[in-house]
Amino acid sequence: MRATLTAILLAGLTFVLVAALARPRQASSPVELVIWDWWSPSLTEGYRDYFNDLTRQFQERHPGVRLRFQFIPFSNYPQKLTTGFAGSRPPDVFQCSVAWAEGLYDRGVILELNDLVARTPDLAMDQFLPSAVRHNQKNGRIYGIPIILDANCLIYNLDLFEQTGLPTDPYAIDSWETFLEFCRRLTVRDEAGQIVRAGYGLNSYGLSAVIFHPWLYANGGTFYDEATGEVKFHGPEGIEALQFLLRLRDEKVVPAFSPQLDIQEQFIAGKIAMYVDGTWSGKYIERNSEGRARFGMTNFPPGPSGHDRTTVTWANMLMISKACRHPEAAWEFVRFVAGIEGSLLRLKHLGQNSPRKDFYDRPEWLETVKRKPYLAMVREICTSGSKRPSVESKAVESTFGPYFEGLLIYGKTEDVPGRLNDAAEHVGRIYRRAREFYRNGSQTPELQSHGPATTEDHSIHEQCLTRAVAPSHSEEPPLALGGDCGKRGR
Amino acid sequence: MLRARMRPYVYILPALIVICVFGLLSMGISLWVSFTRFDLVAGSRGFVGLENYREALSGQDSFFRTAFLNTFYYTVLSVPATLVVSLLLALMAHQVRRGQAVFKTIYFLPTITPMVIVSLVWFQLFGVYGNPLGNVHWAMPALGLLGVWQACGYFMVIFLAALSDIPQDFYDAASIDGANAWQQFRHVTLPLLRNTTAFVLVMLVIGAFQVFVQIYVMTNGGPAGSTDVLAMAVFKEAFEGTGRTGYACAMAWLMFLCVAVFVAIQMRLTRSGRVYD
Repeated sequence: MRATLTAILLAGLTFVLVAALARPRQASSPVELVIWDWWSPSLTEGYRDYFNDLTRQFQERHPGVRLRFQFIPFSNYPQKLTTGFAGSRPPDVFQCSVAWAEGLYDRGVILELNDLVARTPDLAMDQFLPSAVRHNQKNGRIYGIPIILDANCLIYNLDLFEQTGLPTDPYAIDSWETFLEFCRRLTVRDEAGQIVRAGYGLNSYGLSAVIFHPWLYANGGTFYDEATGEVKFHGPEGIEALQFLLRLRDEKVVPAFSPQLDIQEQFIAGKIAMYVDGTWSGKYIERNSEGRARFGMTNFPPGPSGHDRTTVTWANMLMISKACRHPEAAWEFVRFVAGIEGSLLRLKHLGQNSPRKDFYDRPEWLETVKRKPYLAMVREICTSGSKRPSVESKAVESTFGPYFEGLLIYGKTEDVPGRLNDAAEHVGRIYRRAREFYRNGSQTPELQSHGPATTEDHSIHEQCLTRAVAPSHSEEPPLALGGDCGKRGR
Repeated sequence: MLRARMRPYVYILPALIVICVFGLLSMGISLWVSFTRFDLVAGSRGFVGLENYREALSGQDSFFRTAFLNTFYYTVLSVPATLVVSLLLALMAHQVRRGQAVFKTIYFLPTITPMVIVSLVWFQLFGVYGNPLGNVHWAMPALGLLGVWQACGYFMVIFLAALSDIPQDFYDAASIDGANAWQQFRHVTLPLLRNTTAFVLVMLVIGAFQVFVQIYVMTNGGPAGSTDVLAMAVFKEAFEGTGRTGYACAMAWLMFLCVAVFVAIQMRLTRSGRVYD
């Protein structure tokens, strides 16, 4: 028995020793920022060089701050963020998609940036294009600083257009009827009637409303009314837009539905002449085609009920979590990445446009556009669009997706109003539930319209901000903030 | 004497602590969460009693019913097929006198290959052959087929072990009585495999009700929601919507109850108290 107890005791001691040794050591530098991103050096050489340059340049300016990047694939990012916040171990700074940003802010875990922005004119909201500052603030409260500006766009193969005798001007497709006509002319079938080359690549699989949004907005519709939370996509414009997509399917100018269909790959292979992607995708097409693909980008022509060329746009952002231990250092990082220097780094390594106004007059941008003509329309596309729906976006996508997929796979034109109506009822309940949830326990001041925040919440929030914006009298103290700001979430 | 009696408990204590902390305690927490309006980030918004359960069972847009029917469909497709295929493989492997290890290894390989990798490979295969994953009627049978392929090796080994335990005397006696191969299988092998079959059936049903990885990787519940299963529904509700963790936990507990009921019925129907030595 004694031997057994001794063994257990020894095992316990070993466990404690290993656990103690396994504890992360204190960083040798006084400040360490944990940064999460779904961009990763392993994605492409460009991303590798971007992160190397970003880290080097930032640390040259701030030698006392160590950057610890953690790269998480986009598909797992929201779960990781949720568990990070739930487990009180969120990152200090992180890139946040518009799809989750507002939800995190509403839950009270994001640091408000108004005071920090107020003392940093370079990051004032008027430094950014208007379409870049629609998702990062609510009721006048800023919770993120945009670092990229994206939009859905039509990407078209210049070679195939020229071979078919179609104009390559980005405004040549000026209506949906013209678009359909272009699709018909670009589609090539073999003797058996099978599509050899499709005019347009339509694939809803896993993308759900993302495919639907730009067509809906181009037809003068909207997904929901932001002020009232009322669902709007099942209105006449939405019905018309979805019926148009079904018409493309029925006219057989799109490839057969398949989850394995990689539309970008098919586009590069010349099997699809046009498809919808993001304005960021040019660099991937260029890389994956080894520079051979010649393509253009444009926004969506107006539908029968629409008026202007448009699309949906969004600007993903950097956020600082409320639990951040070093808000000053975090803000310096945000300032660098979202400033013109960070924008130029992204241009240099990623060929990425910027949400900043001053970026588009820079010689670097003008030079890049000359080398990569597909970027010429990017600014116009990104500024012409409506705000991409972002409230409860994941839940809405999951709910809307099956209705949309069902219609695209086997739905008939006459099914569209009924199915969209069902989807609208379902999605409407998601919005209502979310509003009710926040009304029942608002944590953040911006939700006062739904219900008052607690005194404690206000107090902690103010303490965090006071500390975050405290004038720095020396190098160290403001960068080593802790106290309630840190404890609250850790 | 007391010390000697305590010794076994001391031995199992570490495992018991791990099970309690990571199993029972977390189950208890999820049970509590299922009675609240809960959000993973924002925390609890108060006790709601059985509201989450009511919503799951009779709510206007209850995901649970659809997901339950899809899960049941998957179970019906995959469980009997896996049972039959793994038993047939075991019977064949049992007959092999040379190279049985190779045979077993080949069939066991899918079981030890991570499901994510298996799913990615089959995803591409299905893309080449008939594209069933793009069809609302064929997506689930395709996933069932993958389930059978992946699981049958493991259960083949279990059946094989059970077959090896059947004494040859029974077959000799049956043979003397004039039983042919089918009759020997029907009246000797099957009855003697009854407890193993019950175990396999229980494990298969539990596994089928928990199917997740291949669906997450290959279809994400599509097309048109035709492969949305219970585990997928729980995952989506827990992580995608605001304040839906309580509801997701309620669904998880309902799923647990479903599995428990099915298993209890099976145990009742298939378990045999007889031990043949």
